[in-house]
Amino acid sequence: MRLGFMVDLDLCMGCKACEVACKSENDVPLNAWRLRVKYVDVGTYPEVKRTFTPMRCNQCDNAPCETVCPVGALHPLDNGIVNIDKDRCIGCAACMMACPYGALYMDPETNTADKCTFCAHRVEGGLEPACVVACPTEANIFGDLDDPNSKISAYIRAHPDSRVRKPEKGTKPKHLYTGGGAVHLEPLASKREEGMNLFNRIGTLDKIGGGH
Amino acid sequence: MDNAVVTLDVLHSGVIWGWYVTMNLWAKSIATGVILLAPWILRRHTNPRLRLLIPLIAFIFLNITLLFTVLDLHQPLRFWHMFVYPHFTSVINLGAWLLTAFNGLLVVHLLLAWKGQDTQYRQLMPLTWIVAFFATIYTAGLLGQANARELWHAATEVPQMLLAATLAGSAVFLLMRAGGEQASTWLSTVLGVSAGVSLTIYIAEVVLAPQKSEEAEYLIHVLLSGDLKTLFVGGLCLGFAVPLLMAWAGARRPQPGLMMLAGLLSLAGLWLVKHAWLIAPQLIPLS
Repeated sequence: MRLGFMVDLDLCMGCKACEVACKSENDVPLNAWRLRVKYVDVGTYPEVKRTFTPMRCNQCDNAPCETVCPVGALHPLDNGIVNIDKDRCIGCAACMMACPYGALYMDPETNTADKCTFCAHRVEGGLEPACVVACPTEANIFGDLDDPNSKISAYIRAHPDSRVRKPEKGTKPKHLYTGGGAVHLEPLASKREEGMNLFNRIGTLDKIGGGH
Repeated sequence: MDNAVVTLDVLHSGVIWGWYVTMNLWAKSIATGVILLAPWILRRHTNPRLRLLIPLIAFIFLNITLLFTVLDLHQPLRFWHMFVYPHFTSVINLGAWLLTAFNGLLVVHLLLAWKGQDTQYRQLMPLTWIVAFFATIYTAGLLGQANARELWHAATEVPQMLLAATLAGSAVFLLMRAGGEQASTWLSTVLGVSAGVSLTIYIAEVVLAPQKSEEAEYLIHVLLSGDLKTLFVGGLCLGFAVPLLMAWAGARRPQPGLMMLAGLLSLAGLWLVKHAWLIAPQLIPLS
């Protein structure tokens, strides 16, 4: 079994229900995100559109975070999910240096690394991840990539433009996207202008970024 | 794309590995550098004080390295997990074992020097030298595992680590005026060659080589003309170009004062360049 995700970017409407569901389900603390929806505005007025890209851990088959973790806190499960043992993590942040998707964060409450685990605890109990359940447009498709009859496998067959983020990194992500364009998935395809974001006054906590 | 602007996203996490890690890299260069050069210095100078001072300096700077490594952890009291839950695919874990072994060997050297057991000291030196060599270069492997940071994946990281060690080691010996006039000329040459070769590699890599990705191009811009230009270019001038010229003069005619200054500048410049190199790839958004 290889559990994977597909996001149909043409269906996502940026409602952030997935973000909220994830926060609530996993008790994700303030200033930390396991799943987020990035907004990018494209075009020149009046020809402008807003794009939405949900981003979470890619649960890579060749996960650099798992390789680099010096204490084996990040470890693959039999179903393909890369899980994390927070009691073992020493907070060296090597996983944050290794993950090319910026999917890991340092939990400001436990001072250990954390990330999306495809809601491994729910999956173990036969439930879908919280973000999948919350999505009103069914833009999140979750299932077994190894099962040709699964919904996700059928979706991939029906959408030949399915692609992953940064394939050149060799991480073999199990998180795919369909629809959208370069600005959705390529971080340097869009500008980040200081003072132009919707939330400008969010600061980092002392121990995370700039603390030392 | 000029007309695409991120309007809502989480805050960029900023520099995660900051100056604590730079201290780690810098202090380790000194600790391993003095050992890498020790056999040649000791051959030129048999002063028993130097036999004690060399492992002592290495021990002090190695423990500065370890101190900053532990302090940089978000859970420093769990450092022992490295040894009870070892994950050997991680170069960080391999490095922890290596540095621990290096520390142990340095303690033995200190004891042997203290007791005046020169024969055992000499016999142990090849093993310590080999451990110091791998302790120098393992960080290149560690940076290579940071899949998200393209700048650190250069094939030249290993030679740069070795050159940083010989630069720092020779700088410390010059500051100590170790080995007298004859060694001073040799150390000036080592410092000059280390600075010159390292500077050439940086220039070849950053200025001359074509960059293969948009990310790499952006990082080079950050280093040469962006936010880090003062640190990086200043560090290269201060710690590599100027000491190179001083070493040129020092190698021709012993000038202890000038070479002490060259050593001091090298150590300062090395810190600045390593710091810029460390934080540059952390400044760009990953998603």
